[in-house]
Amino acid sequence: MARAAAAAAICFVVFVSPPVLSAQDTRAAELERERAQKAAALHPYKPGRLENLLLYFEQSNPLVRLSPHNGFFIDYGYTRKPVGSGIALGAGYRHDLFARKARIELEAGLSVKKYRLLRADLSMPYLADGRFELGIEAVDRYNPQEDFYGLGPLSLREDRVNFRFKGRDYLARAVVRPVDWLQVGTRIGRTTTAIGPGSDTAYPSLETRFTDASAPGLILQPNFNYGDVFAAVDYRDSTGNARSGGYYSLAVRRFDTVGIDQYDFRQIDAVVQQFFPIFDKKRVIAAQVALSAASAGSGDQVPFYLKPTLGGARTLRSVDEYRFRDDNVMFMNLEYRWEAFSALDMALFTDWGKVAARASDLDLSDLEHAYGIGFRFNTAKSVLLRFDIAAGGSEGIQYLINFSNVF
Amino acid sequence: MRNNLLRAAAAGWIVLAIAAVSGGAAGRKFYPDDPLANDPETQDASAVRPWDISNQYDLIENSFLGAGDSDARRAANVNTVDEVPDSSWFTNRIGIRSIANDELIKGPDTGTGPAAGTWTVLSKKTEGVTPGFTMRDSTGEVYWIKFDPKSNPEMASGAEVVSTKFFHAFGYHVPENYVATLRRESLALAPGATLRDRDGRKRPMTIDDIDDILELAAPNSDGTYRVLASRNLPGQPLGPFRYYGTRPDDPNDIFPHEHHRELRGLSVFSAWLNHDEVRSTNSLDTVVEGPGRRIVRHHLLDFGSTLGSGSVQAQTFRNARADDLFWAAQIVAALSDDAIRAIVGTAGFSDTRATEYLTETILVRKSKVLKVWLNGTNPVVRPALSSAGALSFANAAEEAGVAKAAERYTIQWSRFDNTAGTQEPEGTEQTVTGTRAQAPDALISGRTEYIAAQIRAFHAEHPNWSQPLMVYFRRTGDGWSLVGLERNP
Repeated sequence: MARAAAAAAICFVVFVSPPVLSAQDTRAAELERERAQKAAALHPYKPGRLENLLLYFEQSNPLVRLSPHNGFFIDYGYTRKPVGSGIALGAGYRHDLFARKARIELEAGLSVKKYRLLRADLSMPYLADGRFELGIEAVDRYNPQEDFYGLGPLSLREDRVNFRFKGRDYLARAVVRPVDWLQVGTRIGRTTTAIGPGSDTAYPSLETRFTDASAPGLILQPNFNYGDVFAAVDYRDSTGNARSGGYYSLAVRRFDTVGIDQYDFRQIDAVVQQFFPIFDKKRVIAAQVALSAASAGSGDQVPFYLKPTLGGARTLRSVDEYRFRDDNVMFMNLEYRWEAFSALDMALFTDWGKVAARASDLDLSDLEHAYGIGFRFNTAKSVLLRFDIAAGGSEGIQYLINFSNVF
Repeated sequence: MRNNLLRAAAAGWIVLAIAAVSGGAAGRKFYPDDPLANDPETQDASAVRPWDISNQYDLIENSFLGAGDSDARRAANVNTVDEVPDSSWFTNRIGIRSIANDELIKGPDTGTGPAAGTWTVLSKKTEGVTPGFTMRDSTGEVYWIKFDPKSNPEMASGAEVVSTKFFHAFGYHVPENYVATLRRESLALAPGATLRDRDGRKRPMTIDDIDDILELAAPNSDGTYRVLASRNLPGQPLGPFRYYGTRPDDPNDIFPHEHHRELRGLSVFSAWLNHDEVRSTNSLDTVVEGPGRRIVRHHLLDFGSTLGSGSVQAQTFRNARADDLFWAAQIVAALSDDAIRAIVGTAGFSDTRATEYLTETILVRKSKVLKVWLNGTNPVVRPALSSAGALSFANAAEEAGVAKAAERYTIQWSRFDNTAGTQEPEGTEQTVTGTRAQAPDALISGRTEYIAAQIRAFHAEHPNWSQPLMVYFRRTGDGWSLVGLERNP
């Protein structure tokens, strides 16, 4: 045993330690020894599950494959999905036709609250190098549980009811984009509407609490000939997550009833958004002022379900979606946004707004307001998830989760 | 009895063997070849394989998952005098020698950019935010062509060229980036060129696709386009490097990247030049032919978002210590204002006001960088000991004009035992008001092989100056040579 130990020790000194000793004669030799040791144990890098998954998403881009510009697609949400309709999926087929001379889009959407949409759109969007677009669109909407609290600024939260809205639009459009930042267009067509009992059993249905006097249009829902003209100046750096630039839009709409003369009205919608970048766009002051004013002629009324609304994640965050509704709505939003790190923006915000029966009452008195803090998980071009905490109203603290920016 | 003797002999050999290994490994602080100016790659890296790095994973891992060793210990790849030896990561340039403006302006360039004649388009650029494509010029060289955003002509290309020169001057490996002029009529499509359309489907590239790319760029008044032409890096591309750990298939990559001085110091250069896209995907490793072997060379890429033209908080940056930041700030200080003007001039901005504004901004930021990081620790540099024992040194902060002279310096001399790693103080602590001192005669005239000195600087406005700086001198044939320097030991 002792002989063996002695022999092993001698062997170690003779055959092992001399190279070690010589390797330590110089720094260069010491480093070379370390590298030689590593060379004897090389192995390829093995990414973990999460890294593999993210690599797959980046390289094969399954979201683009699910939602291609041309082909069958599946999207989160659907075109003009109503706020409050819940998580929804849209799917369909879309493709450029005839060497990009035309384009077709067929879409169906469905939400967990059973909101539905069917849509067909045929257009020529690439005329004049994309400066001019003609199109026709047919849309069938089914919104089974729209919220209603009554009209005017004094409506009560306790009066919350819901109703079913069905609409079908047939519209033709012409849009001109003479320069990248300017868009002018018009749409004409026919829209049909129908109201029914709401499907949300948590709240009464509208017809049990309101009458045609307190909810004009409850009894009779006419068809409309619809027309509008609109213009928009848009020089934001990104439409989905702007950090500089501005967006100004103006639309004048006209609803003329077909067959009866009771609900003709016009509506003006104006939006001004401005983004003031600070510190290389790492911080942004974002401001929005929006106005919707509907006016009916003498003896006419604006149907309650087409009146502008105020409240919720995009307008006044201290109250529920559609909390206030009347012929005229005005609201202002001011946000100070800053980049917490490259995937998260935070924001301090305040909202102010009111509804009124007359446009002349849209002044700065008795404004509803909200203030709070927001967390926006985002990319440079879009907000993927927005979590806002809002207070300031009489209805408690609101927690809002959305999948797009406020504006 | 015989067995006892054998046991004793065995025990003796074992003790000797252990002492030979452990004693030798731990005892010696300085080797004869210290300080190393070069850390050459001694192993063949032919076995290294390309990899891809997920941008998202890189972000998540560096931001939340604690990638790399968070121990902010002294940088592992510095030599004994606190400098970074030349390697496949870094080549000392402006930090160790004066460089003429002509050489700074030339930077990594070996030519003048893409040759005139036909540019054959090979593929469409699919990464990044700026439009572009790869092409082969009339001499067969491959370039990556990038355009400026239509809204900001000259911006990204100017930033890329200027920052390339800066980062090359610092010492990093960077590609040759040129501002070039593209003529639509000179473009041709390579047979078999393909691209992935917006839906990710691969299809043959057409001349219309080139026009679609040009549509996103702003033409010059004569119909040509100003482009950034980045010459294809030599060697086989391996993909990006990570800012932590080591590459497990590269035998020469032995220092964890988060403990690389030049990667930690990158935070200073990036702060100076507003480079907020320091991430793995803006780097590239290539396999190149070295002396008798293949080695991996590490490059920084994509400076188009620097200088305000556009972050990942890597563990590497979080590990950066005051000595790492001081090292980088010294390199920044080495670039004279005149050199900075010359480098900014390479952007070729058509509006001279842009050149002036950028130059002034960089100079103001330089002043701030130096003020913060040269004063962040003991600023004593260039210590030297004459054969007669006269110690001299300089104050980097004072030299850079970001601080006034120290009120005093203190020096504690000692004998240093290189084998045991111990110090034996000699005399009492000296206090001097200038940057010179005299070593005790007992150290100079004796047979001492190594002398150590702990130097502290004192200034009421810069408390960090008083952090100890250890310097070590080794006796040479005719005097003393600096063999060790530890800032924040």
